[in-house]
Amino acid sequence: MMIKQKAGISDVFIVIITGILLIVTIIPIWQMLVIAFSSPDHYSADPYHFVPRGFSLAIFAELLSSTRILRSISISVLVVCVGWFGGIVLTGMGAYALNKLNKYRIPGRKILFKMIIFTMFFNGGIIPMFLWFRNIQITDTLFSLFLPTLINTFYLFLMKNYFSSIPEALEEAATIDGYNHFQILFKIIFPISKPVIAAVSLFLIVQYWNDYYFAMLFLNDTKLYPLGLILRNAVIDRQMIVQTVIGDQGQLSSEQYNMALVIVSLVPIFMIYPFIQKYFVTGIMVGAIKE
Amino acid sequence: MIGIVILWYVVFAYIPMFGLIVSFQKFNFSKGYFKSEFIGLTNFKLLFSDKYFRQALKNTFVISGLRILFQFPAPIIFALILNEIRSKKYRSVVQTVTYIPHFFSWIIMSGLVMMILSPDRGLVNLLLEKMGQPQIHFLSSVKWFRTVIVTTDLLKEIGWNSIIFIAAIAGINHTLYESATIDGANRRQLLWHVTIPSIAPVISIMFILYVGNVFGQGFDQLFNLYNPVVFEKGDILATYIIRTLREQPNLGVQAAAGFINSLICLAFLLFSNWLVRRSGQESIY
Repeated sequence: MMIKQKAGISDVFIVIITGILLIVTIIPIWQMLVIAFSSPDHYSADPYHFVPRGFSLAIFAELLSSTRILRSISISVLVVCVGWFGGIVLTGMGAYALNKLNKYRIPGRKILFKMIIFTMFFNGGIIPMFLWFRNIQITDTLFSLFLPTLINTFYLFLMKNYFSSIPEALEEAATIDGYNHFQILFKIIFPISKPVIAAVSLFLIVQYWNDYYFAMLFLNDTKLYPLGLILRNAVIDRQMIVQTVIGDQGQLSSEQYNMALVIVSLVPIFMIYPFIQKYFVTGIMVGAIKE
Repeated sequence: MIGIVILWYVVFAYIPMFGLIVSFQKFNFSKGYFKSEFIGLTNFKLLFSDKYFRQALKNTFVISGLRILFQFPAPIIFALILNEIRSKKYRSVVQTVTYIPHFFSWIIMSGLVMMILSPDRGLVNLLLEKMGQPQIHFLSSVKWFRTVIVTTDLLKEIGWNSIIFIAAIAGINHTLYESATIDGANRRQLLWHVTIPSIAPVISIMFILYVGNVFGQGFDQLFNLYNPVVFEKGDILATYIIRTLREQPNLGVQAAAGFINSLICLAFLLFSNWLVRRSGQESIY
């Protein structure tokens, strides 16, 4: 698109601005890595944590031998899997059904649409939710971590718009073959809707993996804490993880543990990142501007 | 199929909405929704007599205003700058790197921000020291706190939020550039007279969306970065509710505060949606 011109002042300006942005983004991540992977002696000797010296996995070994950390990781993995699967299936079903209601002009569909959209504009807030969850007795269970966010109306419309762009002929052919609605949705529509499913999956997985809010509000039993809340207690509430988790290993710094814990919590996100990166644009564009 | 989806909406959206009646009650756990005593607007009066609530209300507006002023334009400028990068490789490196922090939770971001801004060992203060400047306690300074809030969120989201503008720029018809160049337009003129006017509709829609959503945001960031010293500059309604809920639970009052917060979000969303309609675009929702 750019027409060839000589490099000028503006190019220098562009490189400086983007360079600063790169540095500001990378430095904290780099420092975090240096701190977590340094041996405790080198960590305390060097205040800058800039040049990696004395590589050591000691902190990670300590961390991953803590049953509390391992348990919270498995709880997070469980919540992510159930929430992701349930969220995709339920959102897909909703999206498919809304399109069908439109197609067959089912009476009452307009009011239903309005009721669903209204939830994007207004919600009851956290207190009524808390009281209601106490009533139906899902506080202090893992259900309270994924049920309330299973459907996101924005993702629902993202999928609905994508599904409605799929040619009718495909579904008609499947109907003639005797497929029912569930078979059409899961065997025909899902396989050809990869971009939108990948985008929504990414949003759901990141959201469930990072969550601490519902756990903080709804769980009393510390044994059920997901990694997000453990991380918050360690990093933000400055509960020295050295004392609460590892025991009496005083010479090891809590900052090293915190950074190592942060890295552990980042692993899954970096694992899915390369696969899903190419669907970013679809995920944002399809729903943001309806045309 | 639709049945289970409707059921979900009833159980997890509409029943909690109905539960807002506790904001008009002197709520008592043993009596529940139906038997607690109705006390009219007393909870709301109590709220407005609380100076911390009024402060949180003000902060909600001030911080949202600052975000609109600084965080909204930043990704647009960034997308325009990216578009001017000649090396494709460098451009994709910049994009990939700046997208990353979007996926960090605010807990992780706060860990990193606290590390970098730490008064004794943080990189920023070490640099200040080298330059002979006094130490700055960024996170416990009333003067600096809002700057830190806006800057860190801007840096976290600038890459991700630029995606839609990059896509809009990529969609501009090439012949516009070619004919402008033949007419003798230079780089700056191409930017001002082709690129920016071409993406103006996207900018205006995104602006309206941003204004509509900004009042519902910021809880995660503030809740994980602030401390009692900077409450006067950083306590917004969402954090006020959780904070008071933990310190001195009075569910009726906190539900009322949540009600007010939801109403503010609703008002700005309706306003922005109305603006979209008026500008001739199909409304967003």
